[in-house]
Amino acid sequence: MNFTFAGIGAWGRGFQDWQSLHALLSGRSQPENLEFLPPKPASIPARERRRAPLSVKLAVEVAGQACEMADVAPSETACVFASAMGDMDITEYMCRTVVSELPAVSPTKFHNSVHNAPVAYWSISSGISLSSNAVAAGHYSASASLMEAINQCSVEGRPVLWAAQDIATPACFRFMFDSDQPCAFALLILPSDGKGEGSLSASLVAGDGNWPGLSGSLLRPLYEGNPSSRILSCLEKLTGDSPFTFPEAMHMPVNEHLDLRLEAK
Amino acid sequence: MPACLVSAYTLTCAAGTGLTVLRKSLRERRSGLRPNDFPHCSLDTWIGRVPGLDEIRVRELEPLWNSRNNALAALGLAQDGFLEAIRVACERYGATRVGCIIGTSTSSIGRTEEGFQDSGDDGSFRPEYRQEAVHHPHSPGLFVARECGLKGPSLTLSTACASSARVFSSAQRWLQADMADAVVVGGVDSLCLTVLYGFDSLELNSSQPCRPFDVNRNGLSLGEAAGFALIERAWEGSDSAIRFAGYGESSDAFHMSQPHPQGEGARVSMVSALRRAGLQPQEVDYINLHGTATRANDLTEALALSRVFEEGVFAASSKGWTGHALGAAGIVEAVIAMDALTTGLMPGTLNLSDQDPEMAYHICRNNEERSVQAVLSNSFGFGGNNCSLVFRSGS
Repeated sequence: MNFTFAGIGAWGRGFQDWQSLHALLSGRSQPENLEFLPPKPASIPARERRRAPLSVKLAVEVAGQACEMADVAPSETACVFASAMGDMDITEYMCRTVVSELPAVSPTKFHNSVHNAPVAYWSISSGISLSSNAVAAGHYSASASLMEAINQCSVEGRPVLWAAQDIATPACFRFMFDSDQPCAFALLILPSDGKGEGSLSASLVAGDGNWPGLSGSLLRPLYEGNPSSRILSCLEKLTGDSPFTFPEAMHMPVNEHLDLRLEAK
Repeated sequence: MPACLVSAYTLTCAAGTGLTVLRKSLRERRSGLRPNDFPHCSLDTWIGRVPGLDEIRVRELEPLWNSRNNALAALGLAQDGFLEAIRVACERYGATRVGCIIGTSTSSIGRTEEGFQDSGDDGSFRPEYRQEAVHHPHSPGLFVARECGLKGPSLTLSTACASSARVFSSAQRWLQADMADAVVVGGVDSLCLTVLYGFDSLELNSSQPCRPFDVNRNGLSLGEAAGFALIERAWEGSDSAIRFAGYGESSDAFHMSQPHPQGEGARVSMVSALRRAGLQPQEVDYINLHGTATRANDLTEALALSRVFEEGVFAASSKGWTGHALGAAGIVEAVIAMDALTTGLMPGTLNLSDQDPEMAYHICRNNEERSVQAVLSNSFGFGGNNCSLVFRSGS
């Protein structure tokens, strides 16, 4: 499967785009602001934005950044959006409400509870009529969803926008995912004939399910807890500007038995 | 696109556990819907509930995997010799070459509700509910891969009511790019308080058995189901006659919970599926409609049909038998559609008596039986998420 990475989006504590994330990953800067600032993606109309959950705002923000960097119109991309947990704040609200004395739930919360809410807001606000997918794969969500996005790009021969976000885990769910901070990342993936500048290839090879460690120490707490942040193991190895490349092959586990291997052609 | 082989399939829903009972229910027009008797829920509505799940939870599931959704998956996998077909595929290709893609909307959230219902004074889960592989969206993907002994790539798709239709599209792409030699696809979605009260908040639950496309329809009947199919590259010597021939995927880009008023996304998804299958609209024998019996879905779906097909194609909704199985609706209707290639039985629309005169396309009420060569199945979900699938008979 051949492809190129043409755009990156990123948002989390201490970074608001690829440039600030890259500086943190390479250890060139300390985070200026350790507080998490919720994004305000301009593509969602203000009235809608006020009601949109953080999971939606995170995904839409990084999706917009990746398209802009790649100079690709959102309407030309198919979308694969991932989240390991979904919006656990809404899950907790729904579950606590329906088992209470007054089980009536908010209709807005209910339609925002679907796993494809982030990609739906993005497709509605950006006018995308192509395929939009929403996926999960537990602790392997970031890598397995990226595999799905690269595969779709390669087989269908069209740009695919990959985005992953997970918010901080509510206390009652910490036994599954111990994430204390939200983050989101996006990659704009373009088809490649395997020859041009920045051409990369992806394949599945035998693996043991273990994630590589992160070199830079500043983002390790995020990397240890938030399942979407596992994509940092890939992002920290990227070099160059759009299109990006890998100096050497890198692996990410997609389950307990297989790795996704990415390398320059 | 290169067609794939559907070498095995099975379905468990309110209208039958396994294909034998399901076929009988369809032929005899016996609905699986009943007045709501879901525990801890007093809503005045009808549901398509699969019997026997509580017993399976107690008898067959290890405590770490205990959930109504996993019980439904286990029951579904045990029908129609499906597990044996998987075993043969794993032997033939090696377990790491057999992938797994499962669609769901609510995963095991019913178990999460139970965890809160039974929580301690501080609101946290008691130890028996701290199940790491249960309370998140990938729960059915993990459970099915484990039950089947699959070690290939695995993913859970959750795009509301289109979830388990899209599993076929992804599987075809995995096979085409040689990421796997075979893929177990399917959908598992079980009734839970979240969807019962959620659809109630949108005023979409009918107080009667759902009546798709009827002038007096007033909403949907929620259901639950587990269905699976084994997809492989077409190979010589296979005795399966069913080919997965094409898919179409689109987004309405219109509204979170309302379909596009002209059915534009639905039209695009049907047209792309036909194009990938290399079929003209008039070559389709049977369309299994999304047909939920909500005012909006049925009107816009009939309009979209009229924009793609000339009058005369057998088009019907099977939700009067099964209820709306949400994240499993895609596999329910894909199986009912592809099974018509085997049996020749095209189920009509149960509970439809007077077609709404505003419908732009004629919807078939009665069953028909004849040779069927090509079928199409529609699935549309919240967020304007659309998927259409084409299955064909023969090589």
